[in-house]
Amino acid sequence: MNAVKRLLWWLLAGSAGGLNRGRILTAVFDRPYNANELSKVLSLDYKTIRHHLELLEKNKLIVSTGSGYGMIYSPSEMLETHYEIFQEIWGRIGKNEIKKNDTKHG
Amino acid sequence: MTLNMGEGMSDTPYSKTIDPKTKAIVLIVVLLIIGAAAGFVLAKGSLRYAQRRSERVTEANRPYLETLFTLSMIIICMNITLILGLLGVYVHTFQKTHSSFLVGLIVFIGVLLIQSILSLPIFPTSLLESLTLFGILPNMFETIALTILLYLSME
Repeated sequence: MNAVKRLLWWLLAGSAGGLNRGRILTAVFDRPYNANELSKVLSLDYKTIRHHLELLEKNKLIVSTGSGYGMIYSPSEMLETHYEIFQEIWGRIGKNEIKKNDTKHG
Repeated sequence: MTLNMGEGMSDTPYSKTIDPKTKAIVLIVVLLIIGAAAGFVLAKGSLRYAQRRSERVTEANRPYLETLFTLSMIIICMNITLILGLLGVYVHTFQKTHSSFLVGLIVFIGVLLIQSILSLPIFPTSLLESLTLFGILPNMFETIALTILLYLSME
């Protein structure tokens, strides 16, 4: 198991809040977001979003540009190069979450 | 990074939920208090039984051994409550994700739970006979390690 894989397993599956972190990563892969937009798109509390963003940034999975309200987040180079690892793990653990959302929306 | 924004923005889904870091610290403190209380009660309840089974207790060393017995019971019980907390976090995450990674963590924590229960000084091999201050030290380090692990798992 390589280092990035181990890190992702821990952050997405091994600790509480992992599913929300996975949802945040999926979103920022789509396009860069700021914290406020993310909290609306994912219907998560603003403070929770901030916490996860800080943690993901601390773990070098996302990078921020800008400052204050305009601070936007995008995947780090490290995460970009290991996108398939993220997909593999998220595909395995996020399945239930994705299914739940699918049924909700139709 | 302490950017305190959110309050000023009306369209932000800002609510009163506590931040995960605070939640982690509160949970750890609560578990430690419960563990200490349980350990104290257990020590009071089993002290007489332990003394009856021991030939090491004399009038001179009785207070020392009693303190040691209570202390070791409290520390091991704190470890047990921390382990139960970890087990709770992992089982909860497992129910949500069904990840096999979590199965490994749950088994690991389960084994650690058995280890802690067996190291309680009410078990005959570790009765008053073998209690020393130095013998409690590893358990104290286990408490520190478990606190760190629980904090990281809650983050």
